[in-house]
Amino acid sequence: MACWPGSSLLTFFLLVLSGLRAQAQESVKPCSADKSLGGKIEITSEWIENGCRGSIRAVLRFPLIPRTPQVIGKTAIPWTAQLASTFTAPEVNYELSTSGCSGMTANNEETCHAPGGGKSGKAILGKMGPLGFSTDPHGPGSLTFNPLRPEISALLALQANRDASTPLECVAVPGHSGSGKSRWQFGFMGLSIGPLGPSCTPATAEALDYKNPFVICIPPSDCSYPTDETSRLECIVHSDRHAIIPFSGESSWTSPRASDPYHQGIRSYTVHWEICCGCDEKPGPQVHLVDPEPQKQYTFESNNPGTLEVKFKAEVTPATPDSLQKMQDKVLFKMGTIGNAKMEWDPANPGGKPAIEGDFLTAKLKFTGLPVKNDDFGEKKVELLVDGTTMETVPVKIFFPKLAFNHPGGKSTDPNWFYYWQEGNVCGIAPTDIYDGPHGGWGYSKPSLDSIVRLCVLGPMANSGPEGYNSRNAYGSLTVTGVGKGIKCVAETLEHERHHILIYQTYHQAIAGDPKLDVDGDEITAQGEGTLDGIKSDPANGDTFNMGGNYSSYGDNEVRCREVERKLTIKYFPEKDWANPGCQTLPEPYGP
Amino acid sequence: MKLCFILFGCLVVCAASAAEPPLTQEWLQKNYFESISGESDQLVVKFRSTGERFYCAGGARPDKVNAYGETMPIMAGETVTLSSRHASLRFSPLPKPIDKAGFLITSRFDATSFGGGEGVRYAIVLLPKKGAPPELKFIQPEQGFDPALPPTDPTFQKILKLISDADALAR
Repeated sequence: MACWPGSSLLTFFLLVLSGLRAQAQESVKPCSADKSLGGKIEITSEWIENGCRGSIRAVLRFPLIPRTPQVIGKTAIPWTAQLASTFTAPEVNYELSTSGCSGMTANNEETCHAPGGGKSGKAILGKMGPLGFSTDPHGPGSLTFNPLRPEISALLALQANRDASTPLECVAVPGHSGSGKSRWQFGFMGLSIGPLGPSCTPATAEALDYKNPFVICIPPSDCSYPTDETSRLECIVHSDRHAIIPFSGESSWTSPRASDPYHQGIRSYTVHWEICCGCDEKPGPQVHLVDPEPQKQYTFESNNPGTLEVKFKAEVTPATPDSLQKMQDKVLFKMGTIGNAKMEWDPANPGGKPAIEGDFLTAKLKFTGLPVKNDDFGEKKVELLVDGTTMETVPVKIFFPKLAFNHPGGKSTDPNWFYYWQEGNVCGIAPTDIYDGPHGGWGYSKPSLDSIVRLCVLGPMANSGPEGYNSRNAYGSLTVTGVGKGIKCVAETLEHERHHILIYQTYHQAIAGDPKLDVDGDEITAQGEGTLDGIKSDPANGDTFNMGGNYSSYGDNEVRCREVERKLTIKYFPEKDWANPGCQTLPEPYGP
Repeated sequence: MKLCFILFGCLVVCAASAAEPPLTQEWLQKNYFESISGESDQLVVKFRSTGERFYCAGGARPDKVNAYGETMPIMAGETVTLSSRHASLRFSPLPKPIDKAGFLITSRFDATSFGGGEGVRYAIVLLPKKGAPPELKFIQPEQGFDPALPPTDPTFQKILKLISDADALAR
C-alpha cells in the first residue's frame, strides 16, 4: 500500500501547473464517462485439506474512484493529482466457486470428498463523502489501486465464513475405522500485487499458506521506490507519464510442498488481473465451441453416394434459458466446403443457426457425395460466429473410406484408395495403371503385353519385408522386400512391377533369339546375372538364393525386384493421404 | 475370338499345373513351412525362420504378415489365404457335411510378371480324427477335378470313402 508524504500546498500548486503541461505530452488519460476505471481479478487456486484435493475460483469485478475528492470547493482536482493518489473500490462484485475436492488422507485410511459449490454477490466497501472516501467499518475490507507504484491491495474477506463452503466428509476405507466431517471453504481472503522491494519480497510471497492472502511481487517501475526527492517530485508532478494504466498481468505459483500428501493448504494458484477503463464490466453470455474439438476426424460413410454428418455443439455460460435464447439469435455455425459434395444444413438449423438442446446450442450439417479430387479432402475450418464475427475457428480433417467404392469418378469398380491416390498422385500410380481386384495379391504386370501395372487388393495393405534369403554358397545372402504400409506399400509394388517390366524389356528379346543366353530360365542373361541391381547370381541356377517353391526358375529375377522395393525411387506423400485408415488417421495411422 | 482366349488361358493354366509337382505335405514343408501338422479341429502351420513371409488374411485373426518362426492355427471351417508377391496358398473348408473334416488347399502362382503364365494346383488335406494319431492325410485330385467339389466329383467321392473308412476303424 502506498504511503506518500502529505500533500503540501507547494506540491498541490506544482501539480496543477504541471498537470496542464503534461497533458500536452503522451500521457495516461482519464477514462470516459461511459467506460470508467475499473478492475477485474481472477484467481484459480488448488488446495488440499486432509488429502482432499480440489480447486477454487474467485472472480472480482470492481469500479475504481479516486480516494480524494475530485472537487475541493470550486476547484477541480487535476487528473495528475488523482493519479498521484490512490484509487479505491466502493464495491466489489464477486463470483466464488469450487469444483469440490476428493482424495485420500495421507495415511491412506480415509477417502474424503466435498461437492462443488458457488456464491456470488456484491459487497459494499465504503462511500465517497465531501472529505473523500470512507471505508465502511462494517464492510468486508478495502480494495485499492495505486497506479504509480503500481499496486493492488485487497484487504478483503469475502464469504469467509461457513456460507462459502461445502461439506467435506472423510470415510474409512475397508480395514480401517473412523470418519470425519468438516467444511471445504472457498471464500476469498485477500490479495496483494505490488512492486518487488521493501514491501514485497520473495519471502513475503512464499510465506503464502493456508488462509493467507495471495502475495504477488512484480518488477518495480521507476516510481515504485523513488530514490530521492527529485525523482519523487517527478513521479508526482508528471504522474500521467509514470502511472501504469492499463495495468494487467498474470502470475502463477506452485507450493514446494504441492506433492506432499501431509501438506495442508494451498498447492498452487494462478492470478490474472486487469485495471483499465471498463475492466469491471461484466461480459454478456459467453459461448464456446465444444464439438467439433480441434483436429477431429470425419470420414464419409461407405454408402453411395457417401454421406458425412458434422454435429456442432456450443456451450453457453451461464446456461440460463435467457442467455441460451439470446445467444441462439446471435450464433451461427459455419464450415468450409468439401469439394463438390452437396452441403445441407438440418432443417432445424437453417444457414447454420443453432437449436437449443439442453444447456447447449447445436446444429447438424450433412455432406452428400464424395468430392472428385483427392485435394478436396483434408483440413477444413469449422467456425463459430457471434453477430457475424468469427469468435472461434477449429480445424477438422475429412477422410474417405479407403476400401469403399463410392468415389464419383473413374471406374465404379475401383476402390476409393486407387481412385484418389491415382488422381492426386499420392504414391506414383500412373494414369495408365489399373486396378484388378479379383486377381488377388499386391499387384502384377504383363510385360509381354504392355507396361501397365495392375494393382490388386493387397496393394494398399502391408508389404511382407524384410525377408532374408541365403544362397548357402559363395553368392552369400540378401535381405530384400519393402516394409511399407498403405501408400508406401503401393509405391513398393509399383517399383517391383516396373522392375519386372524393365528386366523383361531389357533381356527378353535377346533370350528369345538365343536361349543359350539364359540357361537357367530366370529371364536374365548370364551377363546380367553378374551385375544387375548390384546383385551377383548364379547364371546356371534360376534360384541362387533359394526362394524355393514357385520361384525355382524365377528366383533370381524375383529377388532383384524385391531388392528395388527397398531402394524405393517412387515418391509417396503421406501428407496427401486422406484415406481412412491412412497415414494421417489417428490414433493409429496406417502407413507409410 | 473370346473362345480362343478362354482356350488359351486354360492351356496356360493346365500346362502350368501339369509341370508342377503335386501339393503334398513334404512339398509344403520344403517350400512354405517349417512344419504343418494337425489336430481334430485345426491345422497348425509353423512358418520358417528365413525366406518368404506371407500376408495372412481370413480366419478369426486380424490380417497380418507372419513373423519368422511363428506358429499359426487354421481352425476347421475357416478360410485363410497366405499371399506372397506372385503366389498364394488358400485353405478353405470342404463342402458340407464334411466341412470340418479338412481343407481344400489351392496353390496359385502367377508368372505373368516374368513373362510366363499362371498355374494353379489343388490338394485336399484331412484332419486326424479325435483320438487318432496326429497324421494329416493329403489327397491328390483325380482326373477332371472340380475344385467346387460337387457330390459327383471323383475326388469328392474318394474323400467321402476315406472319411467313412476312418470312421469305421474308429468304431
